[in-house]
Amino acid sequence: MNDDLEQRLQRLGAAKVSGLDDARVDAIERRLLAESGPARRASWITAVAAASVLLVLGVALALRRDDPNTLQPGTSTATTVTTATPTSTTGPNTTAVPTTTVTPTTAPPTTSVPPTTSVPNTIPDASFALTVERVGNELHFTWPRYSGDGATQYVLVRVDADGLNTWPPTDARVAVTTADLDTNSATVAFRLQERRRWVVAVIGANRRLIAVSSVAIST
Amino acid sequence: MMTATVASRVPRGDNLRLMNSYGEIDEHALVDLARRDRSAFAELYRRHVQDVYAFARRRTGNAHDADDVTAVTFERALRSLNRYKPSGSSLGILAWLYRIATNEIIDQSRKRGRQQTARGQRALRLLHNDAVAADTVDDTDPLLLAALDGLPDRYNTVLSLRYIAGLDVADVAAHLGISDGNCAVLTHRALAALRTALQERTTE
Repeated sequence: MNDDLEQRLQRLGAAKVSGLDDARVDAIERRLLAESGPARRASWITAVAAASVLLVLGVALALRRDDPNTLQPGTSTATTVTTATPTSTTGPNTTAVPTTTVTPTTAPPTTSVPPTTSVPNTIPDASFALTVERVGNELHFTWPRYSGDGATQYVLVRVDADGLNTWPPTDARVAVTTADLDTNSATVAFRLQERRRWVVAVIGANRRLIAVSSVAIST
Repeated sequence: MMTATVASRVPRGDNLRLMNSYGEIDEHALVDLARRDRSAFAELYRRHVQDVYAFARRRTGNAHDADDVTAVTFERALRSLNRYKPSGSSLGILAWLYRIATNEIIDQSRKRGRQQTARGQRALRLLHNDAVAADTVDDTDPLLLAALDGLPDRYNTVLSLRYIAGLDVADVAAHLGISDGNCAVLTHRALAALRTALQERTTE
């Protein structure tokens, strides 16, 4: 009895429509990333907890400084804490960090300091070009070799519309890491034929960011 | 030599870890990640934005409203992701996104109804028809959409999810919190109401 109406509705459901254009997709994504959602609410609590731990450790450090028989951390203490904080936010992504690295005592408890508080100053501007080309189900990336000092690894990272704005990235964002600094290319199996953004980061000891490539877009 | 790939130069499992991006993660794990990590939510968004937009485009009949519905759908999804429970649908979280989009479409339609007289709505529909005509690949059905907009919310929802989003009876039933049998009855009544609404509109 309702067959004709069902068919009419199904035709509507199968109607060809134009897609949302890339610029608009990016704009909505940026808005979402700026939106306060469950992740931010959850991190608020842990940020308070992390701040409490830092406070306790700060007091402990101050007490140790008062003891003339202990080594003084010196004026570099503040810098050490700042650079250590991103390392502590890595979660499962600690496999790439040399295990011999001495981690400052403030690092372990601070598992979720909101990235927006410390990240902007730690991401350098893009200083070299990254290119990407799809060949079948693979993406081929190419970049110039890094010739400066202090580099230990290349890290290929998938980024959002905003580019690389958090360091270190979550584990799932890291496509390739290599300590072979003579390498200037990488091949990644990636079947999804959708727009994705990529960046190569040159990192030094303690995963310090040294240089960042331009954003390459794969399709 | 200059461009030897990383895979061929570095022993696997040493300094190299091959692709483990979100592109390769199954949706279940991605949803769990997205509850804690906004960039994982961005990946969910990337995976489904065009499907949600296409649904909204078909259901609203115009690109502007579909754009709004798509943006609001993902904003709402982000805020309520902690409450999302997989329904077992073959569409995964997309079925949930369709439900959010449907609610938003109904909300927008209700707001428009409050703001405009019947004559104004007809004028707006003419404008929409013009927009559709300009977008030559579109094949929407303005009269049908107008009749759907006039249905009670529950009828509107069940028909939108079942026929325009393409969910099966079990999925729609799960999202409405009713049995499959009740869903079939509801669908039947909704179709009858839609038929009446269409007849009324054609005799106006």
